[in-house]
Amino acid sequence: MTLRNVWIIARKEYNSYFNTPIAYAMAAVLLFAIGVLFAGDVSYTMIFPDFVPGLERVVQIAVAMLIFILPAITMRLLSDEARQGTIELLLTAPVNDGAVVVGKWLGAVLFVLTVLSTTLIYPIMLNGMVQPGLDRGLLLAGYLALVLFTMTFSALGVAISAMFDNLVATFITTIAAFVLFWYFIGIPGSLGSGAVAEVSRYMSFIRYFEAMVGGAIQLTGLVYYFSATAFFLILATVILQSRRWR
Amino acid sequence: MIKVKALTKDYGARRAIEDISFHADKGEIVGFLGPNGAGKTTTMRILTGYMPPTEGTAIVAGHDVLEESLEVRRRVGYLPESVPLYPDMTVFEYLKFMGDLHEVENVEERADAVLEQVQMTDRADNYIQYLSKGMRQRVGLAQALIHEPEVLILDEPTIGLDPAQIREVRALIKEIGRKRTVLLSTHILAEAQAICDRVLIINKGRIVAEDSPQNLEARLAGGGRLSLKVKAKAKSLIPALKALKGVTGVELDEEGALLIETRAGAEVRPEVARTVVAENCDLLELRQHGMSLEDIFLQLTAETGEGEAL
Repeated sequence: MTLRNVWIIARKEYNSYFNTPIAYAMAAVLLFAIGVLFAGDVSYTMIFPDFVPGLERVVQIAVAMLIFILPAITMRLLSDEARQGTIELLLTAPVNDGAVVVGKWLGAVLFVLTVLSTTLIYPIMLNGMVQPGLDRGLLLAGYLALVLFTMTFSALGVAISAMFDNLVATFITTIAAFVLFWYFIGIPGSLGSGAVAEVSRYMSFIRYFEAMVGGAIQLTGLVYYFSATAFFLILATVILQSRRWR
Repeated sequence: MIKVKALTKDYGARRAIEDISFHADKGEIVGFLGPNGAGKTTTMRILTGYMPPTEGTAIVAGHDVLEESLEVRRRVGYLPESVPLYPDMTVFEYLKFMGDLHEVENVEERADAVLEQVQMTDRADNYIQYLSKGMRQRVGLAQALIHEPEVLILDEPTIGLDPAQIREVRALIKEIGRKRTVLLSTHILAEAQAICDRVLIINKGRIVAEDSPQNLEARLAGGGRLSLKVKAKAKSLIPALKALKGVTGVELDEEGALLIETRAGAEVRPEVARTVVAENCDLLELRQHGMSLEDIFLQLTAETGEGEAL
């Protein structure tokens, strides 16, 4: 897998998001919701000077919305190629399947991060409004958590996108998978004890995420997010390869 | 350039192609002729490295499609039947992207060059979604040519084009075929006749005939029919003609010409001419009717009950 090919595909994917209305719509929804929350926070501060507006809520709402928005962004990655038949061109170009998957994934991640980076305007404004300014460490940890979430769940999205030729099927399956991996996977861990609960706690993306947003960046969490990303990308590659044998 | 040996492909329980063997040399245009579902696309997909065969081997441009897939893909230009394009890209962006994937140096110059080759220079900045079918076809062809491949594989390259465009595309393929190896599929016999040096007729996943369009015609239609026109007394010639060796039947058609059916491989024209002279008739015309490729095709595919109407 050459990085050159990954980059060619990523760049094409990234650029094509700016040609699709759905990406703009998703960006608008996300930014609007975060903006409303921010405005609420600021006005609250004006009424109750003791209230310190923080960034946690912005990150929390961003991730809750991404659970439903990210599938709309990742669904087209490989499903659309299959639907349009262009997958035949990609798979007969001198590019290995892994490079196709990673390139697609990278394009989507970069697009989402571009949208998310525009929300940085809120903490920057907030920083000027509160004394003695925002906690930079918390701010960084919060955005790092968002970056990790985007990376891992986009990889899961690519894998599901490799399964279907149909966008609606991809979209619905992706949302279901996201909800499962984000909300449900940690439930046994928070309810009981024992081996199952232990595994469930270890596998809970949301648990590491919340710790990170709270400022506690754990090595296990980082390792878990990175390995899950790698796992989903490999899974996507295997699914894409299986297309050749069908 | 292309060497295919005993290629077989199964889709689950269904056998798409069976024991296909053929070769194509440099500077040769080989046509794959057959009805829809005969296995043309399956064979092409194997040769382009899109999917592996179930059995058999294929060497394209000196590399095995299974063992050295990437090497094969570097050397092959492919136009799939559906002409897949990205509608939200401009023609130039698309060609640049495909060129980049194929590691083309000076990709922008190459894109300009292929656009000129397919006469689309003035459409470079148009979005693909707004192009007509014929133009898309040409963009697809440009894409297949961008990396100057040694082997060009074109699946139904003229489907959906108007007659003027068909002429252009055929001329372009002939031009390209001088220096490269071209394998194209078609279900139009006239097309195979017009551009191919050699034709492989494929039906139900098997090659049923292989030869030059001319030889195929000669080989399969060897005897066929003669038509004979004489100035007068045509009817009186019938008994003498029927008595000739190799003649299986003689009929008079409504225009007064004699239609002589002959056994395959039999050359009866000299005898017919002598007979006409001996019977004191004036010979006006003696013509051999070869079977057209359409007849051959129908004859070959009728055996398996799949002679599709053309």
